[in-house]
Amino acid sequence: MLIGRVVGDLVATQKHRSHEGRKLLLVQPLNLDGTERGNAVVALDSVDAGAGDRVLLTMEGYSAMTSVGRPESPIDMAVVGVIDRLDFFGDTAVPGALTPPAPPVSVGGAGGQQTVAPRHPVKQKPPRENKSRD
Amino acid sequence: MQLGKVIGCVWSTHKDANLSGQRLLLIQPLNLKLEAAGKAIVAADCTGAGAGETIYWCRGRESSFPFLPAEVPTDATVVGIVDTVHVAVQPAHD
Repeated sequence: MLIGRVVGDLVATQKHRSHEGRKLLLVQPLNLDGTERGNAVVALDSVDAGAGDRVLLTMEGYSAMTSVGRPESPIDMAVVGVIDRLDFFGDTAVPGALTPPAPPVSVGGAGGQQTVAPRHPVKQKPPRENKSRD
Repeated sequence: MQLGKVIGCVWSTHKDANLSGQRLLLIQPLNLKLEAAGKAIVAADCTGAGAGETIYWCRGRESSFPFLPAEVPTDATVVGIVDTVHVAVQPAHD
């Protein structure tokens, strides 16, 4: 699985019937330091994630299909979890990894301005003090 | 799945019997801004997508499932035609 951020969604009327009734999310895979890891992908949603959420993304067919509940269907990526927090142990701390997602932006549409706010804001955790053992 | 754009068609007369009757499309993968990203691929189609349309496509063994019970030997298939893309959170580098 990869860590990613939901950056939007897409609408498709004509699609394989196994994709009906599920949200199609645009997910940007992330590195541990929060930088982008390759291209954004389209993933089906199995946990009701929304824009701005930091999520777990499975990029393998069987797990994606079973999480969405559509066996034997053309699904190779699915959002299978919303990440609340990342903990790094010892010296593996990565600067910038726990920064909250980018603030929501106003999106212009035919019906006027619409603001999409992340529904699960990532809380910043205070840095942990290194306890030295004597 | 990934976003892509139909940029052409592939014609093949002599091919695997299970590929007969399948449309083979040339797909250019796209990024969030719907710009070309990466190299073009050949994909089967289960939606009836046409030239220039923005689509999303699936890769791997899963891409042969739309054609079951036929065992179509494909590793990429167009599985949806995109109407609108809504980017609510701008990428980090913008």
